[in-house]
Amino acid sequence: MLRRRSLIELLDEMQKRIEDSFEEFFEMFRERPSWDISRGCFEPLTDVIETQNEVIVTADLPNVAKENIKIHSTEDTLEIEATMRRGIRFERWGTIQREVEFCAFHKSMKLPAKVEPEKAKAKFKMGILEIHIPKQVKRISVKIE
Amino acid sequence: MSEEISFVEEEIIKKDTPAIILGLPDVGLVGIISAEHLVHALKMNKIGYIESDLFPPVTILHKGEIHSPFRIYGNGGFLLITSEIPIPPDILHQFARTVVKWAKSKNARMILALGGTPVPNREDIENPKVYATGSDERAMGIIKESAIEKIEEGVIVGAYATIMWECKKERIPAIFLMAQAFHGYPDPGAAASAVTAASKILDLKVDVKELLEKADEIRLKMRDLMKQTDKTMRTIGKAREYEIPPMYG
Repeated sequence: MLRRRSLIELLDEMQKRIEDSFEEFFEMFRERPSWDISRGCFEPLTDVIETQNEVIVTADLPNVAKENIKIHSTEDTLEIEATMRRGIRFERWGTIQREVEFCAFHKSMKLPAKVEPEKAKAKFKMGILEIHIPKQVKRISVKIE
Repeated sequence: MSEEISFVEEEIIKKDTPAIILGLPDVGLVGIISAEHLVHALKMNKIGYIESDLFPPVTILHKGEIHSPFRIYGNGGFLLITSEIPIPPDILHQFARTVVKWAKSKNARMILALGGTPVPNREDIENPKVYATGSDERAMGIIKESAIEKIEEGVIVGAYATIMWECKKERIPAIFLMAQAFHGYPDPGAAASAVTAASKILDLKVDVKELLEKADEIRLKMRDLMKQTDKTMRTIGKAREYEIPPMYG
């Protein structure tokens, strides 16, 4: 049988819903823009997957040629820089409402695990960069007593 | 706060048995990229919008004018619904029921949902394949006539999943076209395949050359929407689409 909810429960539910909506709304504004007009730079869309042995990072780099991509990695960070084939001009860009031209991508990120950057491998196809970096793995054999 | 979702028609929609095309933010933004291309190619006019207090407080400014992110377009025997923001996960069922109820009120002959299906090796695929699923026998018949490969087993998650289910219940033939696409990156190539398949179903001639030529620009413009859509897709467990369904028999 369905139980009729009390007024307090309904008010609690309503309050939670309002709080959630506000949190979502302000979360939007806490984010920084994915572009930097002073450098004419976009932050590329990226995805990071951690498997047992490696960290795989992909990045969407349209309008870029392979030779114009630079990747730098330390044991726990990765930086991707790329210059576009031709600048992309927008007449009135977003909140700043003036003409801007973007000609590069830049993204720095913290990796989810310590890696061996010197063993990293990358490929670039259809504007998608895929980097495989082996994780620092310490394997210790455990003796059975 | 009103919990209603309403269709507001700015022009009287008199179409007889229209086909309703849906282009919503989803995998690779295939739906919205395809919808935008179809609006231009079929010279569709904005004829209405969808509003609700349950939608995020977002308004789109275009050429100095204020627009709803949930818009309805029309021309000839076609209506098209598109959205420039992801549909909040907690209202997906209600949204689907409202869309299908509205389609029924328009005596729609068919609902055609345009979207993507994520493939892990998308960068190795030159021409993305399009698969389809239908809500009933009539829809399945159209898929067969159009020589589009039917998807036999799989999982659909999100707005299209709920819309397809509502169409099945309400006996409206609905077809969901799924082009092989990048999961979290805007995919105009997949959209071109989806538009080509949609043209077969709707018996239209739509050139996708411009869509392919402008692919890089579209990918750049759609980055922020893709980011927001990706967040929503994670919330609703979109990655389940990679799964094999456990049904047997």
